[in-house]
Amino acid sequence: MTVRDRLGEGDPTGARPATPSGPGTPATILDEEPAHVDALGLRLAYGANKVFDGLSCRFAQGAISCIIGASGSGKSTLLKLIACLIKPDFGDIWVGDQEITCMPESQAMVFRRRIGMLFQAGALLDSMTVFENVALPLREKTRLTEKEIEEEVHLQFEAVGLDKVDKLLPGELSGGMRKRVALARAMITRPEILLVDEPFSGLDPIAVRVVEALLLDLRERTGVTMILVNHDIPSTMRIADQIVFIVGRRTLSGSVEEMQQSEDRRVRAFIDAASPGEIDPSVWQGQESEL
Amino acid sequence: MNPVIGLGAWTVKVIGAFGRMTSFAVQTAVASMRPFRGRRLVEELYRIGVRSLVIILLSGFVVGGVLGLQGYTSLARFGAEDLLGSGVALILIRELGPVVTSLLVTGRAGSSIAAGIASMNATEQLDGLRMMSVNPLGFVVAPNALAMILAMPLLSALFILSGLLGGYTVGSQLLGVDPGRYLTGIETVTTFEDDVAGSLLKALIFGVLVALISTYHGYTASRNAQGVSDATTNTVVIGSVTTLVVNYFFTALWSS
Amino acid sequence: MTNTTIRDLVVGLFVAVGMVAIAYMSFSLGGLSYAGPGGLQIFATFNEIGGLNKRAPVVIGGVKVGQVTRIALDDEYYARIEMDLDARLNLPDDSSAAILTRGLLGNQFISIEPGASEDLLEPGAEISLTEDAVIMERLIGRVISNLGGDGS
Repeated sequence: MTVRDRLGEGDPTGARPATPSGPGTPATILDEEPAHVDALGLRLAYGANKVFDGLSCRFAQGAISCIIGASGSGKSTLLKLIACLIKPDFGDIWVGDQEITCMPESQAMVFRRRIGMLFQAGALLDSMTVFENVALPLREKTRLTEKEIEEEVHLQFEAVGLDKVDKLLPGELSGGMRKRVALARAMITRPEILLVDEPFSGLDPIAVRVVEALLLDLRERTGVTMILVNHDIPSTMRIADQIVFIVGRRTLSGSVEEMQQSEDRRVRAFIDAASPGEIDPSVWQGQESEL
Repeated sequence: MNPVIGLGAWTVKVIGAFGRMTSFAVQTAVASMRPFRGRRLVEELYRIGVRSLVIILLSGFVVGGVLGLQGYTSLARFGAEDLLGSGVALILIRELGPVVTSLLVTGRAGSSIAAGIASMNATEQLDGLRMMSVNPLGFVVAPNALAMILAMPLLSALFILSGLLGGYTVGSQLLGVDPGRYLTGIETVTTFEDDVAGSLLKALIFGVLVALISTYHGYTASRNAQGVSDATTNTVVIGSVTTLVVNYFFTALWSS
Repeated sequence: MTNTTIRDLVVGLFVAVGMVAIAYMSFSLGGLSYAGPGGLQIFATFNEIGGLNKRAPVVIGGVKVGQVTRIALDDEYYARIEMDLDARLNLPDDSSAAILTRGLLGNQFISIEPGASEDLLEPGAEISLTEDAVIMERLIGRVISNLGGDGS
């Protein structure tokens, strides 16, 4: 199945999107790499509000994939679907060779051990110290001794560049430090997939680069498959192996180069908006009406 | 809207809410035992029980004091000041102890439970727990609920004793009822079967209800600041009204 | 001591104090079991007990020595009272029991007047000399009718 086949899916009118073919079209790197996560024909609606109406996308094994798209296009929802935190109305999600949308909650609890998630605000438990927060997954799911847990936690702290934070409460940390603590907690169980929701929101440009370096280093060391929701186009361009662009009901996928060369007007608009210079507002109006 | 349709819609809504609450309660009860989290229970007992202690003791003392004052002025007209202890004890043990405790705890701890769980939901802390394969019902909801259920009878008993002390202080120390007769009055009129057992049972029932109402509203709140504030308001309003209504029916059934 | 240990201690203390409060309410105030020496069961039969309650105190010379444990009607419709008294008491078998009222509207209680007999009341024995409760309304009624009689 090619990317262009996917583009047609879920489009009830059968009309193809205005994607020009030829050189520069998002190509098919996905079909060459083994997919780790494969979402097929997802439909999800809250009342009359259709979030997804037949969305499909794939995320390559061991790659850093960035999901981009307009606010409200359901990027974070897609992450939660992959984490099995919510279930689609229709459609399948395959993680490896496991289909996750039909799992009862008890099985989902077991499944989620394969997945780490870094939430936007960190989702650290306010009432526990930083150490307790990071140690929690080990205490809950392993039989490690107190000493082993301590070693493991400090190992993770070291990996994300934290020191002497054990006794602090999450409320006492800066945004960047919270992200690091949350990253340490997400990675402590050595998941095969790391889902990251807006890792750079609320960070200053230097902190952004630091977190980027951490993520790249992490992938280098562990080979974890990363799926990021990212608004920050420059940082997406720096770290992504694959970009998944949610436009309305469809997704466009490709490498950074393919996306940069894309002539799809919405992709262009997104990329252009992030660079200095004038933009054409009419493109955005067009996109909103489609959403 | 046609009032009949309105009534029907309302009925469906109420029954639906009851159903969801029951299912929530059952799921929480199951999750509370697998595994049982003693450490978390202690933490919540501190937050819910210990930190409600001062307000309970203080309120109990003042309520008992005002009962002593009012009771004395009424009884003194008949020269029956000796009945002061009996009157204060019966009112406190049968009614005011469990009811006022429940109202205060709903305002002090129930609102805090609801706001706490709702904001944990809004800031994705509950999703974070799920991602760590930890059931939030067992980790957050059940310890809160259990702590509330345990704390309510304890706090109610302390409220009553504090109230009896308040009545004693006003009645005997300030107004001159014989201290021995005050105490004898309490002891002779109070029976375990008629008064104390009912009082403890009431407090336990209020504990269960307030625990359910506060955790349910916190857990089902929408994920924003408005949701947190709604959960808190609903908990206090529904919790208080439920306490008063259930108290009436309990009293009516218990004494018959 | 860490913060956690202190908190555990405080919570433990809270639960302990609460339990003591419940126990005090149940046992001492509620009289789940009579706090104090007991063991001597004595019966007394009255025509009229007025507002005497279960658990009303039994006194000798104003000193509490036990409490009423049961109030029932016997076959001839007399009120039969069971009392639980301090077992160390050696009461003569011609002692008498009276139902008195503390103050004008106070609680009623049983007062025992020890007799002079050589023989003692055995456990389960019956006090035969009893004085009924005074019913205030009847007393007042009698006074009024007596006053009326004088006037005619």
